[in-house]
Amino acid sequence: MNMSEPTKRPCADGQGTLPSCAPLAVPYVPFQQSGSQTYSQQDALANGTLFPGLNLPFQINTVAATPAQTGVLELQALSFVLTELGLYLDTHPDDKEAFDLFREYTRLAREGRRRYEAMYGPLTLAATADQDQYTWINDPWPWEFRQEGGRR
Amino acid sequence: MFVYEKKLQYPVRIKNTNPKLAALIISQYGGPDGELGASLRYLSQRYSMPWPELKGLLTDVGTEGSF
Repeated sequence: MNMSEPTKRPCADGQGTLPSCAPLAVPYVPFQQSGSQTYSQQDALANGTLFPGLNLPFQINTVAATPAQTGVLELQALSFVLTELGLYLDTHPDDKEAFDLFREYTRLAREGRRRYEAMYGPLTLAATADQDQYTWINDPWPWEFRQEGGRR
Repeated sequence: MFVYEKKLQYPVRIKNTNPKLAALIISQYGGPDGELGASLRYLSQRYSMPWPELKGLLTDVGTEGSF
């Protein structure tokens, strides 16, 4: 669980806010509040959401699957958090705390990407320009599953 | 515009191959009423969206669903 204390949350974390005056007999989706609690990036990737308040498993007592540790996992977790924060910020652009978190995770993801590319090769065609040779076409591609220690 | 990243979004470990299940999953993605069709609809709907928050949201959700 994260990090800095939330700034202003009038309701409990799993609850949202509604307009103060609303027409009768109309169903609503409560707005997510600013300053909602967030998971760590690994827990976010495993649970499929950055926000504990939005984690609504199909069955009670569902335990989030912990993905196997691989070289790319840290980057996948950081990318997932950035996607989540981006979607949240689209509709909460004035949440300063979330924007700070977005900037911090962007910085971490840039570092993670640099480390990954140094070990495994370029992630984008453009990043291939930083290599000594044109390695973009080198195997493995993401869909080419390999047994650990084995061939393919 | 999109830039391809040479990695998976989420780790995949296949213990047993299962062509029937694979066909089901790929049709959930690219088949009728699949995610790919939905994502292209999001990317078209944003052209008539008046609110900036939702122009951004349709762009980002449509982008996410394309991969």
